[in-house]
Amino acid sequence: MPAKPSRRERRFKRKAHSQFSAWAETYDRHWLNRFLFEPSHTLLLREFEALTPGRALDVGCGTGALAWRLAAGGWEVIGLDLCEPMVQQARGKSASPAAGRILVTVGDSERLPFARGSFDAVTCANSFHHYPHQAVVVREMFRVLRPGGRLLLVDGWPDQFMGRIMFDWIITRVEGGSVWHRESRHVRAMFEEAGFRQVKQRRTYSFFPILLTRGVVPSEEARHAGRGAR
Amino acid sequence: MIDKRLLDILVCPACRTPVRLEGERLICQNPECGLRYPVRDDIPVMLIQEAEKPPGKAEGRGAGGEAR
Repeated sequence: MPAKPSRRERRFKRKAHSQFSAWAETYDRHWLNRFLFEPSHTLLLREFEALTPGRALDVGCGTGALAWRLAAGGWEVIGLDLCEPMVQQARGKSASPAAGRILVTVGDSERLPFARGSFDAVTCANSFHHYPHQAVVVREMFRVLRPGGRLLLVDGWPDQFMGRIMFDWIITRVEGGSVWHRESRHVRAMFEEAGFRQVKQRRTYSFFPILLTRGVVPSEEARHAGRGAR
Repeated sequence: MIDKRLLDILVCPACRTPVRLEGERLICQNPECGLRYPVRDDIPVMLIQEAEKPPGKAEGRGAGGEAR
């Protein structure tokens, strides 16, 4: 369970909440969609090509752009976001036949309201940098995945000079501060500490450098056999 | 109406105990916790800060043991 949030962290969450509530109606038309969100989703969806559709959780689903692309591929998707107006938008796009495969809930990524082992996949696209306790979130994602399930997380890749300029300067300004873009080795460490195995990272450049990190929940046997059995 | 597929896996974010739908509330089944989460426009709002405490439990934020 997360430590009691500090006043500063509570302020950051409140700020993200009010920022995205104000953004909900126009978010799908924001320029970041073309240059950051869509390329991120495409990178992430490539990882789904070899998978049999099952049940996915999209953490920080926003207006549901990724959830809808997953549902169109046959997945049953539960979208979760801290921001209620965003979630309403996510559900609102109901003209498509995939609508029946999208369910939404308001929730906090640090305290996912789902039973252990509920999902075959968890996705998180361009949202992770808003979370004050990122290691807690990764552990929560691990908990709600079934053995063999996988976490696919996409966010900015700030490791080198251009990434630093883009994320620590441009995006931090667009989002009004209070964001945490992590270097790839830090994201990898969080995955491994949570218990994920087969951690792999892929990087891509659209306009922005993007980092995808994938981790697989080991089977029960592997968890008990391994040294760091959890 | 909340979809059964969602209802089947929802738990209380405070103590991770399953919840039960009662009218427009999702109620944590852990007697030590019992937080009551609102459902607005058919969307479950699973935030501890939005939850009501059970009747007769004005003080303290429930969240007894961690049922996983």
